[in-house]
Amino acid sequence: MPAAPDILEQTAQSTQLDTPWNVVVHNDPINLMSYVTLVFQRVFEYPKEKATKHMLEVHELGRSVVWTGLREKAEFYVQQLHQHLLLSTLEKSDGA
Amino acid sequence: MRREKSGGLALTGLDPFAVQLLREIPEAGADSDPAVQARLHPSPAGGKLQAEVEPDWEEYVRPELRSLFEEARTVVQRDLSRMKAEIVAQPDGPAEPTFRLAIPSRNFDAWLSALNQARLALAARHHFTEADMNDHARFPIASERDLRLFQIDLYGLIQEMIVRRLAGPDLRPAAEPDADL
Repeated sequence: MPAAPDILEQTAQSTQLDTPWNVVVHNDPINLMSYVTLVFQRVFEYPKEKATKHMLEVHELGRSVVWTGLREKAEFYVQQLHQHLLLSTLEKSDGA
Repeated sequence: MRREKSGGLALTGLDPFAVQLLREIPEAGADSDPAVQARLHPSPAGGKLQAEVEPDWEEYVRPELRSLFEEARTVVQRDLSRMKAEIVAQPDGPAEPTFRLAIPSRNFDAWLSALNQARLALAARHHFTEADMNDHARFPIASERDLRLFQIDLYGLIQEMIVRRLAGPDLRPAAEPDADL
């Protein structure tokens, strides 16, 4: 009876895409609407229409997801938004 | 308020009351009140994430932001220190001094930052709500609350003018004459 081959090492590999991260801007009653629009244009290089849409979402709904992507870049954007004194947070896009 | 040939803005005819409020811009943003600091340096995340992200943010990001905010206030302080008195003859009384403040276009970003710091700081210190901000019936100014809301509005007006200059498609060349806005 042939001997069973020894299994020296068993490895398993899996790859998983990083969960996307959201950059969220929250409403505050102090920041001017025109200023918030300008900041979105500058930080994300959004055209005025898109920047205005997000500004109105913030104003009317209380928050807007203004960008989604890798965590490192999301943190960078939140830092930029804080530099412009907007209330901004990052969150996992699955809501965690 | 006037648009200058250089591309900057000039606030003219400022009375001593307006001058006093403008001179308070840098110190308002430097307020160390905990409510003010919490608003100027909010957490970058909420919920379960906050504890994970907060330490690095405090160590690496907030010091840089504090430095940038202070730089902006210093630029504004410098422009304010260059405010000039103008004596305007009155037809029916003694000449009264008014003041002229020039905001060079190269300092627009610093002004936006310092004005915003001041507006947010005043609102945080006095716990103003959205209802307060929408209450525009505060003349004559009869209380500290009225004064601070007026101050926030005044700063917002200047901020709005600068935003229009930066956002508008009509940044005029320097050769154009000064114009009222």
